[in-house]
Amino acid sequence: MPLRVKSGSRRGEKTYLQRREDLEKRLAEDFEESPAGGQYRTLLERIDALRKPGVSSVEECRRRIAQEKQDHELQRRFSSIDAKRKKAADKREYLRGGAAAQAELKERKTALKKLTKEVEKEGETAISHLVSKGADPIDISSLERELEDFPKIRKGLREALSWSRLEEEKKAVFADVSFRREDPSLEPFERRIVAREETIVTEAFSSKERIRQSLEEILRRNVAHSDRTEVEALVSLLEEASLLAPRTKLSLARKDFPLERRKRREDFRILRRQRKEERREKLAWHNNDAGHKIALEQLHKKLGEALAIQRANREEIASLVRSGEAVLSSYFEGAIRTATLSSQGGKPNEAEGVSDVTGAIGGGCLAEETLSRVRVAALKRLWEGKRERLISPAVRASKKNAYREAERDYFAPEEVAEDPSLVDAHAMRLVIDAKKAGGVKEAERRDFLLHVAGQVFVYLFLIAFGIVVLFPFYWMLITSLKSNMEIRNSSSPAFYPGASEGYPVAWSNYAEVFQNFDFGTYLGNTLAIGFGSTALVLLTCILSAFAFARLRFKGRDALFTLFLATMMIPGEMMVITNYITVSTFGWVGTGQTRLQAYLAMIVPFSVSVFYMYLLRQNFKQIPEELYLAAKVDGKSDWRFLWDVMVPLCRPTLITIGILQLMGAWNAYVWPNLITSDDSFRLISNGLRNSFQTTTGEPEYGYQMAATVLVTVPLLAMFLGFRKYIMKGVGRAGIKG
Amino acid sequence: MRARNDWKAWLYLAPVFVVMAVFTFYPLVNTIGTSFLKNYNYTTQTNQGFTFDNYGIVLGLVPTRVRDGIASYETNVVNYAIPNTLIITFATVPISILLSLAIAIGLNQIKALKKVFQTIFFLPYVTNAIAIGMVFNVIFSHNGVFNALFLGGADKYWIDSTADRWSGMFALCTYIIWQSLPYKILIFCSGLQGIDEQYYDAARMDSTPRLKVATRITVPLLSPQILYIAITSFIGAFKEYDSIVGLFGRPETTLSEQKNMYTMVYYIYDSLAQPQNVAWACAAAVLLFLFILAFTVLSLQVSKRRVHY
Repeated sequence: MPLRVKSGSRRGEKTYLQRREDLEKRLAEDFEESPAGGQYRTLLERIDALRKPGVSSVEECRRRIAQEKQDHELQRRFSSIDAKRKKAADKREYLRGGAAAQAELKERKTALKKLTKEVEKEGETAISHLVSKGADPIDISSLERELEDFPKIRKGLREALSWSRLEEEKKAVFADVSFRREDPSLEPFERRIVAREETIVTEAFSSKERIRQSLEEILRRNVAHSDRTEVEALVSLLEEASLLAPRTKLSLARKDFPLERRKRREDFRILRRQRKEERREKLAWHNNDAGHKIALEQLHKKLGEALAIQRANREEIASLVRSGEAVLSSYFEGAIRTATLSSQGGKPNEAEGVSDVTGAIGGGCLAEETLSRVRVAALKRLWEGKRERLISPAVRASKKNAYREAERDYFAPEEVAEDPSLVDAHAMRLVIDAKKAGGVKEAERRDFLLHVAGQVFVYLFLIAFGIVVLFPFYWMLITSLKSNMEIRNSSSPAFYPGASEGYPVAWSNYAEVFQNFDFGTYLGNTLAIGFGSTALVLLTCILSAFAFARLRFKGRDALFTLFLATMMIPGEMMVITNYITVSTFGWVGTGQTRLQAYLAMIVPFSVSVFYMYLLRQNFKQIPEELYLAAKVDGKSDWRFLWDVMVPLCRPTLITIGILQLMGAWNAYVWPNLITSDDSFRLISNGLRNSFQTTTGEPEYGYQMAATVLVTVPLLAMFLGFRKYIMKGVGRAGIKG
Repeated sequence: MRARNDWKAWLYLAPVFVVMAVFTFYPLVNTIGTSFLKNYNYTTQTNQGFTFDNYGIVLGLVPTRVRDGIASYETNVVNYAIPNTLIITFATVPISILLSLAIAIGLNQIKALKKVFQTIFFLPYVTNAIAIGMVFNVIFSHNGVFNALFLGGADKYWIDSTADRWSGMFALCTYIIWQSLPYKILIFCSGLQGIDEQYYDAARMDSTPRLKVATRITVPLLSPQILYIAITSFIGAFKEYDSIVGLFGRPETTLSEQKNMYTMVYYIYDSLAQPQNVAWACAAAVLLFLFILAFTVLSLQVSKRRVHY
């Protein structure tokens, strides 16, 4: 039995160990005390020492690569969730900022209103005061003195009187404004704001000017206080002047408010752009990213090194094994020779060399037994394994040699003729030598050739079956382009349309189908049922899967097991009673309306245990931490389900939706059973029941054209959502 | 905490629970109950008490009616439905499993064009059973392409006219195998992807022959998937109906013959059409359920020793 060295797989390890056990047992039985036993043991120990580090580090590397990939995936998920959360927080903050600005504005407005009221009130008393003072001619200083008790009105007077400052102030403000207007870095909306500011200030100054002129006029007239109307005009002028500044401020603030909002929005946009960039960077970091990539690269490098060590060790192991085999085989030979000799009763010539073996073997009876064991082992070794087959020329040559040698040296020709296996043990050693000499390279080349031949075979096999699989589709397509006459009359079918003479390509089949087959109605029904049941199934699945995956309640596992158990029960058990049930509801029978037919087709299938199971598994994969985090944020279960779970599981939901839609497209039995009117039926029913001649002969051309129309949307959908469909269908086969 | 969540969870489950109760659990009980009712008529909702006769009628042991001293029996189930179901099951399942296993192993060994082949082999899954059944009807028609390719243009009838039961079965099994390949291939492929590369590395290092790799590594490690596929496809084969409707459009090859393409499910649906036969359909459904249950339990028992998880 050749010693095989395997890589660190559990299975390989086991067989390797088993084989070693066998060898050791044999060693213990036959060669325990011999020098060969000791030699072999040291060899095995060395092999072990060589194997251990290589195997464990390869395993370690593989494990760590898997770990790294998993970590990275989790991190990516978490980071995207973090980014979303941060974004929402930012937005809230900004909105809060905008609200603060608005509140401030409101405050200012009320302040101005209050001030206006106060000024007006003060104005009233000021008027009566001034009137009661009598007919003193008025000048500014006396006016000021008399308005001592009315600070606001007096402030208005000051305001109106500050002529000297007026020009300067105006110049300064306008200089500022025009400077700002010239600023080239301004955004268009900022420019508009500057312009508005300018008009506000201009208006304010012109009011000031107007008030000043009026006041001047009144004063020039030097009116008496007793003239009430003059006094009223004077006071109202002063009131206006005192309110002018706050009013201007308010309008400037008002103008600032949109600026503020604008700015915030703009800032937010910039911030968002930054975040986006950050996120993209982060994603890049986590997706193709340096860190993960570097880690993976390093791990792969380590794996490569480990594999290299393993490979290097392997060669050494192989050579060790070979020498071990050589040692053993030479002892086998010795055993054979001695055994043969002793069984013949002759005296062993080489007794010195193999005395211990001889001792172990014992007498003639024992010799027979050992002989047969050795023979079997030698034969097995010789003929087992690919390598031996590959170098069969070498084997043959060395066998010939061995025969010759055997004839010459060890065995009598009659003996060899009687039992050829006697030679094989010797031949084997020669084989090993031949292998050492040059067989390995040749074996490698043959290995490669064999690999190529295998691949060619595999491809041919796959192509052959691919044709078998595709053929019905092709035949459907070309038959749909043959006229019914051609199909019925020609004895051998044409393999492409228009091939047989006298029968042109019959595009008219399709026209016929659109005329006589109520494609639109069937399609409408099918789509209505499909989308209706898909929506219902998704809703029920989401709700129940969430309850089973996240919520804790009494009897949850028992109920789930019960639901799963129903998948084992054939639907035919339910169909019969369901049929009776829906007729009890009045949805089936004569006078069935379209709505009733739809209800009867949708409601009984609005729950799918299998999809529920799929979705629950998916929900369960979402880390518990997310749920707890949402709880901390004060989210209800309901909001968590729709805001977090459902978006995260979108691929599965899409899969379920598509499979459900396909199910509706293919439904035949139930719709056929419960619909009483042809116009309520689905597309499969319509297809099977149409296009027969009056004698019951199928009109294949029309049938196939309709079949193409039914099949093509399905195939298109499949090619569009290939990933989802195959993943969803394949998921069923994975345990757990 | 536990108690507080309870009512909420039931609220989430309420829609599913209601639908399941009405359309799954109640029918289960009701169907079993109905199968024991004598002369049940669902339009009038009347019956004449408890009886085992329905099972006897389905199995052809009890006469459906006796008129003028002559008893007439329902023979289609025993003669056609049960044997046909078993033929379909034991012909298509092993063949399709072996074929799909071979194809999946082949797919697993190639690199170039793998996606394309996978897509092609999946196509039959996304087709309408009725539609493709009609295509096979064309292929197997007496002047169709199957005769032209394999029988040198012989005028053999497979589906209708002079076709006998075995011809019909051959066409039907061919169609069922074609149709059932993709799902199996997909499951096997996903199972194969889950097998650790190391096993194959080890085998390669030992230069183990391919066949040995397949029988000693691939198949044992794929045994959970094989068990799953075996059970599901046996169940599927027991319930064959759509394919017969698609291929033949009726439960017999020739109009004069008895219903020689019957299966259990076909019988159930056929019986359902007449109100007085509903109880028979129920009995047949219960029998089918027992078949499937027995079979599943049996295969799980067998697999205990053979499947390595």
